[in-house]
Amino acid sequence: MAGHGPADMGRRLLAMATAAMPPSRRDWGRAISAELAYARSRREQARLVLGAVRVALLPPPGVADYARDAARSAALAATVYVPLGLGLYLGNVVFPSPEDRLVGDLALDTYLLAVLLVAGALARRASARPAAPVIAGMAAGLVLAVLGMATFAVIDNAFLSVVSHQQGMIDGFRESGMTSMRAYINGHLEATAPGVALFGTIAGAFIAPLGAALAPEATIAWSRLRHLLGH
Amino acid sequence: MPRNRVPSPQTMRILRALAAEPARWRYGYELGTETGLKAGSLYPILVRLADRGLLEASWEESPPQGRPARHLYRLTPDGQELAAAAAPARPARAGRRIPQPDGA
Repeated sequence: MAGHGPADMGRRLLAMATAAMPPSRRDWGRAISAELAYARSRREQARLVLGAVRVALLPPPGVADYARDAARSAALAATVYVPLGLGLYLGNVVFPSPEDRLVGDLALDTYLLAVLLVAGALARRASARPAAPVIAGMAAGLVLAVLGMATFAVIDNAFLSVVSHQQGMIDGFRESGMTSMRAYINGHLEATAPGVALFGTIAGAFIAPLGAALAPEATIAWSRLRHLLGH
Repeated sequence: MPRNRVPSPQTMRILRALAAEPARWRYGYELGTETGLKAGSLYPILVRLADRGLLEASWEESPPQGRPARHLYRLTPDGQELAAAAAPARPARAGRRIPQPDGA
């Protein structure tokens, strides 16, 4: 039977929406199609079609949850980045050292490590999904890397006269054969940014699950310490 | 089990409707009529509840003659737990916004 009425149009749209659903969701498309046979008006039919389209547009199962894990972790990383960015500014502009680009490399690395561990621990507390700490760590690592590179881009350009006295900059500029220190610095930032972002993401993927695994132990240790300090 | 976020008011309407008779299987149309939710809102919520293991679905065994079998829904034990846990919280919160005549 070849129909051309609104009901057939509805069925065709429903079939298209069902085909667009992930395989695990297609039963929902069939369920809505079955309801179409019971719809009492065209308006009800149209609403059922809309329901199927909306189901087809839902993120696949689990994806929305992982997106939330990533967003939560990215927000945490962006928040805790504030003192880190301030540290980079102080170390490179206010108290510049001709020898080192960063003041307290060890402190910086420890801070980054702690942030990624905490991101993993918080992801585990918020979600039982196995990959949640990995996703959270990747998001946190990526955000920290991007913000770090952005901070260097701002500092190096806004305070070029200060940072250009750093020995590392002078040596790199000399070796590059370039004629402009600003062009050298920006070229260097552009060249290294993708690698730094990738490194941050991968480091987060490995370090955050460690934080998730250590979280119960850390909680117990913290309770014991509080208990000891309380007596 | 993953933690569940506070359900939206629309989700709560569905949870309440299903929790009223937890053992009974319900049709989507019936749920829509009871909750006042249109199919465009109802089905995405049902899908999300099922994804979270809060809703179970089954196919009707003996549909009316000449009609297709319909999907039936009811809450899982976790869904019933969520409905019970979330139900008292909302009226209490809403109640604080209502001015009391005696100033209480």
